[in-house]
Amino acid sequence: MTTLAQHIASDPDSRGYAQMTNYEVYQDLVTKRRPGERQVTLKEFGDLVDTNVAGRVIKAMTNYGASSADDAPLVQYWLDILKSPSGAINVNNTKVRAMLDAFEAAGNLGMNAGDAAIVKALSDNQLSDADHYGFLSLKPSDIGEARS
Amino acid sequence: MAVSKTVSPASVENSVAYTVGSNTVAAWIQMKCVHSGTPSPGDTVTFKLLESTGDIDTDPDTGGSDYSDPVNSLSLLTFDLNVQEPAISKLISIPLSLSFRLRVENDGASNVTVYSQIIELAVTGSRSVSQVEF
Repeated sequence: MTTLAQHIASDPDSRGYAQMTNYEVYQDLVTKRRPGERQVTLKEFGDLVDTNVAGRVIKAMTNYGASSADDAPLVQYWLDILKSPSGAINVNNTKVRAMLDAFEAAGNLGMNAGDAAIVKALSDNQLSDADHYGFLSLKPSDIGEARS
Repeated sequence: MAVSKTVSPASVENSVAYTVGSNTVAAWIQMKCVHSGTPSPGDTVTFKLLESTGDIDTDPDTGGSDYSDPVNSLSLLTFDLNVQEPAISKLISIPLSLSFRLRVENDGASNVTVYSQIIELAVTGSRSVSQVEF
């Protein structure tokens, strides 16, 4: 596993650590900008919105016309997982989000503003570089220690 | 060496090694921290004691005394400068090691200046006061 010192020295994402102060490096590492994953089961989804909306999601997907060959397996993936109470979907997946947006825009979901906000919040889960690289519980002074 | 130290944001400083007196039967430490400007939320400073019993592994490549690593060291206190600044701690009783280094972790966004002083009580009953140097 890469240590914090190695990460800062190698700067794998070309963030420009070498030109930053310790505190700037810390702020850069804890800024949430990476798309994260958020797994949601059908039950959770139904609990968060309501079962009618969850049902409409499934119905909308059943009737969803895949626009490309790539989309068809994804639609099936959604359907398979949503139909399984123990399954989960990653609502932050780019294509999954695009479908959700398309359904909502087309009025298929029939969500009220509150429900839509909940779904959007689920999708907005983001990770920092510190989260992504496993530097959990990072403190500003850890940067100084790593650079010393 | 100086009796105060300015610690940069997101940085760490260690004092020079402080040797505990051979006749000391008890010791207390007190710390002070001054912010360089106006404190804001998150401006915290943590003090830790890196203790030594000497050359614990008799390792020829390091030669000198070994000190507890920061992760496993004794955490003395954390000043929240947004609550109180300048901040002066109460006296904290410290274990009688052979020597120690005082470690300062500045987790704030501004420079801070730190000071520390030790009171040692000797077996004879006399007290001595010494400043920790950086």
